[in-house]
Amino acid sequence: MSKVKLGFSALFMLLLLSMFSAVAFAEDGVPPTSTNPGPGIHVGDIDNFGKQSTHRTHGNFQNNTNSCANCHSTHNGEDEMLLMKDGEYELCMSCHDGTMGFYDVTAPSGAGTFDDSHLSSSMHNVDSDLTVGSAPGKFASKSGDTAELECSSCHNPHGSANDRLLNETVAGKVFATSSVGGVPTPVPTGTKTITLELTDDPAFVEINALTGTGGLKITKSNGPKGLAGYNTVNDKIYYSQFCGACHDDYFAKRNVGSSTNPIPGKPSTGSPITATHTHDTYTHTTNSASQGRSCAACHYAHGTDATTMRDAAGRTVTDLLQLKDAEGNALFPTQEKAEKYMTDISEKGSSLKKFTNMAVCFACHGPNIAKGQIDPQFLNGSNQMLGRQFIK
Amino acid sequence: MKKRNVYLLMSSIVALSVAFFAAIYFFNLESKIKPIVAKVDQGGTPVFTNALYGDFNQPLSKPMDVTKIDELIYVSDTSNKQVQVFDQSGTPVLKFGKEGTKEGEFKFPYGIAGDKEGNIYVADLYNANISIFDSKGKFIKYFDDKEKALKSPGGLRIFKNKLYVTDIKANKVYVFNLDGKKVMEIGGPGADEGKFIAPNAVTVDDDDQIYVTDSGNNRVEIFDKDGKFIKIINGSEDGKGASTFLNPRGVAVDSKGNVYVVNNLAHNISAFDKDGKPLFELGGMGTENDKLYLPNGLFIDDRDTLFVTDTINQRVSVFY
Repeated sequence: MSKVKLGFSALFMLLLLSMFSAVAFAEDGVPPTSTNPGPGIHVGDIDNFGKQSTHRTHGNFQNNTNSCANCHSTHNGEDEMLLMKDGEYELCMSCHDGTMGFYDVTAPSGAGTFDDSHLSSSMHNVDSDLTVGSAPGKFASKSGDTAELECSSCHNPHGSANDRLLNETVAGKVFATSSVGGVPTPVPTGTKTITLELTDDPAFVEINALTGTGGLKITKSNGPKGLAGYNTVNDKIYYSQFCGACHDDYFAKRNVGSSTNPIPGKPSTGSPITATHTHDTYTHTTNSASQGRSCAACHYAHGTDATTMRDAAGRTVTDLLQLKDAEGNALFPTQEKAEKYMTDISEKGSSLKKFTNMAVCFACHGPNIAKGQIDPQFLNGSNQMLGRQFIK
Repeated sequence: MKKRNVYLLMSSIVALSVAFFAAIYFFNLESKIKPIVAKVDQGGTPVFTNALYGDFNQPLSKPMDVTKIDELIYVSDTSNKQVQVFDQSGTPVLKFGKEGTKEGEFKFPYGIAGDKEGNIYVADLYNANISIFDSKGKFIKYFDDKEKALKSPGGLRIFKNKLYVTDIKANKVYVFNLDGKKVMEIGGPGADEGKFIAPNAVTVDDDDQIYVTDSGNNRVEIFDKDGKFIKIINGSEDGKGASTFLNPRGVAVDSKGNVYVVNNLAHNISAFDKDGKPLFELGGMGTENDKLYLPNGLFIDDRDTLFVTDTINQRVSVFY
């Protein structure tokens, strides 16, 4: 009996002990998290040189960074970038939806808009299962074809040499090439090729005036700057090469559309091509830095709608609403009427255009084609359409 | 008592204990037991109890804020441009609103709060107004912002017949009487004490202190009832060191005066005591029950139940 007694007592003791130890173990302080690996240690407190770090939103990683875990899951990712599937758009939009005030991609900006609630909207439909390979003007199948179009197809949240965190690599290849010894050669990694005309956004004067917040400046973009960049290539051309990485066929000179005219190289492929290009169609020149010849002359990068597009006289819906006749009556009394006027009726949609319908063609070529027929009120002193000034 | 009976009694206690814990283990009852334990142990860390997922045909899409009015839970279902209403068990009972700029319509429904009559106030960030609905979801009127101060209303709470709203673009917090008269204005753009960059949420504690999430500066600022700056909570020892917050959003205070802050990009909720001392964290990135993925809005009811909107997981998680 004494043996049994000892056995039961010991068992009971063990049971109690294990219960208490389990409770004690569970009470062992705060569990480590991605920003607090241990009690009193906060990732982000100290920079790479032991100084108090300043906050930068994208890039500026520290050598002891643990920020990766905020977006990536090391072993349980749901896509090949170890992100949670379908989470990328939401991740970007947790700040860029207007809740940070600045860089709201749903509001009109230099890149257009991602708001699809107005008439004639068209956009680079990120987060819609669209594949990069389905880009119009796609030349040939290559790596990255089946990748889904995401914010990261064009932007690098980790930081980039280019303005607006634009990728150095698009669709799996270095998009920017310049001529070295007559051969189109990819620019070295880390070279800034996309330079945009950025100006401090007047809506954020107070924030821009701040010092000590990690150099945060809120800027407005007006497309490529149009200056010679790396290896004397104009940044407008680099910009068009960027677009041409996916829309290859549209990155060309107007007169390359014949088999007698060898294509000097598809910069987006990253390797020099000297093959003869049998191309049945002609295209508006996009690989020149002259006005109206880069992709950004006619198209927005994000998207467009009736409220962001202009007509050939350079007027937007907002401008139309201000128009009055001689008696002071509004010519476009309602937003609805103004938006109807600005509706793009093209069969293929508004194609991310900066001008409605074919108004951009008319804005440049109008006075030459319709000689003497254009109402002088839509022309400037140099006999140019008023809308032309908005074309890069 | 006979020795034999004592042994029998003891062994039966042992057997029952083992059976009890075995049952919890084998039948996966841990999640059911935890809230019960938490209820008894008031000082403990809140634990996940359940989640509200919304209508099967139209689940929550980017839920940005949540509030409880009487016994119902109201969620701004932002990407669906509507408000979804649930009972405590998570059964959808009502939804209202659709996309647009007219009465009863939303472009970006964000902060949501209720008054004593059970009316629902919804701030719309893009439409730049606050809509008032009755408890059945019928549009009554717009909040009469007499000075037309609101440019981009974000976080919204009502305490003691006063409406507190953050204006994200103006970088300010406005306090109104419910008739629309502005009684106070806090902040302005900047990183100094008392200033904001993109304030996203506001709450008030029992001492009428005002807590504002200053998302762009990665901190929570605390003001007294007259709008005078008191201190900062940012996860560092005294609020003066570098912030450990990553895009802080929802903020709420429980009955003990503990402050809870949603860390959107760190996918968790940080809790602090009255003095700003860190207590614990809830969540962490993931899709499991007690995890969060880009959480945003936070509401704590009078029973200290936490409701947090979990945007990517398309739910409102309840911790108690």
